[in-house]
Amino acid sequence: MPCDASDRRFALVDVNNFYASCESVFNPRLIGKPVVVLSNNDGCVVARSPEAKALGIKMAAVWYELRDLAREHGVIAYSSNYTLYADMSNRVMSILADMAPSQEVYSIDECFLDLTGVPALTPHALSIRQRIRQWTGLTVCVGIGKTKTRAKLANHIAKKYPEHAGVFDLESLSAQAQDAWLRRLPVDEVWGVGYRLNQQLVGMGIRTVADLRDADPKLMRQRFSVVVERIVEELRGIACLNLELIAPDKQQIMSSRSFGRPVTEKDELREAMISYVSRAAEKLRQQGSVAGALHVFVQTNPFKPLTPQYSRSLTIRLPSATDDTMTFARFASKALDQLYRSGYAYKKAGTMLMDLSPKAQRQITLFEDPSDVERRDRLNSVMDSVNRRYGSGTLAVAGAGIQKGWRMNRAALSRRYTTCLEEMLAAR
Amino acid sequence: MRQSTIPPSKSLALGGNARWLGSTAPDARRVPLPFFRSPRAQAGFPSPAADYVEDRIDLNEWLIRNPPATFFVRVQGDSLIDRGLLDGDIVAVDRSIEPGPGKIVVAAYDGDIFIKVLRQIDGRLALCSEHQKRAADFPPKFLDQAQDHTIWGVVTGAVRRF
Repeated sequence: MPCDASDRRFALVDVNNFYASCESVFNPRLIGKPVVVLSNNDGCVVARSPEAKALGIKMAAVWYELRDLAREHGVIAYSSNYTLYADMSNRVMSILADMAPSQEVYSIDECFLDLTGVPALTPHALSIRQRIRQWTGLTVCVGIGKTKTRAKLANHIAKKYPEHAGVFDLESLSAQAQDAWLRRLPVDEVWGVGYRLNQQLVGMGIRTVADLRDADPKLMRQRFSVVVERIVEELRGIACLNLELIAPDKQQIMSSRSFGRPVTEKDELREAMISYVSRAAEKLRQQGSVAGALHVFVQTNPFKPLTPQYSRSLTIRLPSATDDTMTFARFASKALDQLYRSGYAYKKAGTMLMDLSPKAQRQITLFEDPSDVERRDRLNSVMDSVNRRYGSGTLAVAGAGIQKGWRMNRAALSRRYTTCLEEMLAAR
Repeated sequence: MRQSTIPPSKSLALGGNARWLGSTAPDARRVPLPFFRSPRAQAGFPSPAADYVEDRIDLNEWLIRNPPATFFVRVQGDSLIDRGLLDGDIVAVDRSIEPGPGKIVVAAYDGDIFIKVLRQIDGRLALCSEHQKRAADFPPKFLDQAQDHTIWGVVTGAVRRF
C-alpha cells in the first residue's frame, strides 16, 4: 500500500561490539578490559571491545601478529562462541519484535524496524535501548530515518557521536541541520557504497553524503546501476526499499572449515566431510528444503606456496532431491574417493548443498520406497532434536568420527552459558 | 518389496557442470522398486479422544514468565540454605524484574557472580546470605563498598533434581 513518503519511519537497531559484549555479560571481569574475539581457527580479530579498539587493534587483524601488543596491554582473546552469540541474538531480536509493528532481522546483531505511525519516536527509541540493556545486558544504538538508507546513516551518527546517547532521529532535525550532517559524513558511510564504488564516486567529485544525495539519479543509473540510483532516491527520503519480513530461504547451504592442523589421511578427511555435510543437512531441514545436488571440495593451504598444492571439487546430482543426512554422507564419501590424492597436506574441505526446493513440493521418485523415506525422516528429526538439546554433534552418523583430530582450533572458547546445562553460569 | 529391473534413465544424469561419478550413482542395472501403499489411509470410527488432546505439562512455561530476559544460573554453595536453596540447584533469573530489598538476586560484585538476598541495612544496600548457623562466614557485601557492581537479575524460581 503506498504511503506518503514523509510519514514513513524506519529504525536501524544494532548491538555495540556484539560478540565482545556477549562475553562480558557473563564474565563481569572483562568489563573495561581490552577484549577481542577471534575468527574460526583463532586466525583474525572479528570483534573488539572499545578498549581493544582504543589500542588500535583493527578489524580482521591477524592475531598471531598482535601477540606482543596483546601481552603488553593484557588483551584478552576469545575464540568465537557462536552458540552463545546466536542465543543472545535471538533474545535481542525477539525483544525488538515486540517493540515495533514489523521487523527485518538483517544480521546477527542488527535489524530494521518499521516504526511508521509510532508517536514520540525518540522516547520510544530510548526505551528500546533501556529495555535491551536491562533484559540482556547488551547495549544497542538506534538510528531513525524516512528510508532504510537514512536510518542506517542515523545509526552511524548515534554510534560515533556519544553526545546523542545512542539514539539519533535524522528526521527530527531542521532541513539545515540535516544538511549539515550529510555534508559532514564521507560518502563511504552510505549503506551500499563499498570500496570500489567509493573510489569511483570520489573520482567524480562526490565526496560527502550530501554530494551523492544531490547527484542526478538518472546519471547515476547510467554510470553505475539502478542500485546506485535507488541509493540517491533513498538519501532524498524516497523509500525504495521495504522491510524484508520473511528471510528468503537460502539457495545454497555451505558448510566448510579450515582444519586446525593439516590433514593428510583420507579417513580423517572423510570424517570432516561427513561432519560438514551433516551440519549442512541439519540447516537444510531447518528451513524445510530438500537439495537436488551436492558439491564437495578439498584444498591444500594456498598461503604455503612452497608445499605441494592441490585443489579439486566435484558436483553430484542426486538421484532425487532429499534432506537425508545418510544419503548426503554416502555421496560425499564416494565423492571424496574420487577427489582424494595422497601426498598432500589438506587445509580445508567442505560441502555445499545446491538446487534447493521446498520439501512440501518434493516428488518421491519411482525408485524410492515411501515407507523408507518416512523412516529416514523420523530418524533425521530425532537426530536434530537431540542435537538441539544436548549440543551439536551429540548424535551423528558414525562416519563423522569420534576424535575429530582435524577439528578447528578454538583454544579460548568461553562457556555456552545459555544453551548447555553443564556450562551454565554459576553464582555463589 | 517387489523388485524389477530397469535400464539407466535420463533422470539419473548429471546436470550443469557436474561430472559423472560412476560408482556413486545407484546401481542402474538393478533398482529396487517399492511396493506402493498409502501410509495414512484410515477407515472406521475416529478416536473419541482426539478432541481432548492437550500439550503435556511444560515446566519451562511455568518457570519462565519472560523468555528473552530469563537465564538459568547454577547455585554454588549453601549461603542461601535458609531460603531453601541448595548447592547445585538451578534458578531462573529474570532480568526484566526491578530488583528491590527482600528479593533474591544474582549480582556481579567486584568481578564475581553472587546469588544473595538484597537487603537494606541502615539505609545501605547489601548482598546478604541466609545461613544462620554459619552467619559469621557470610558477612553482608555492601554495594557501596564494591569497586564495581551490577544487579544482574532477580531470581524467580528454582528446580532441583535428586
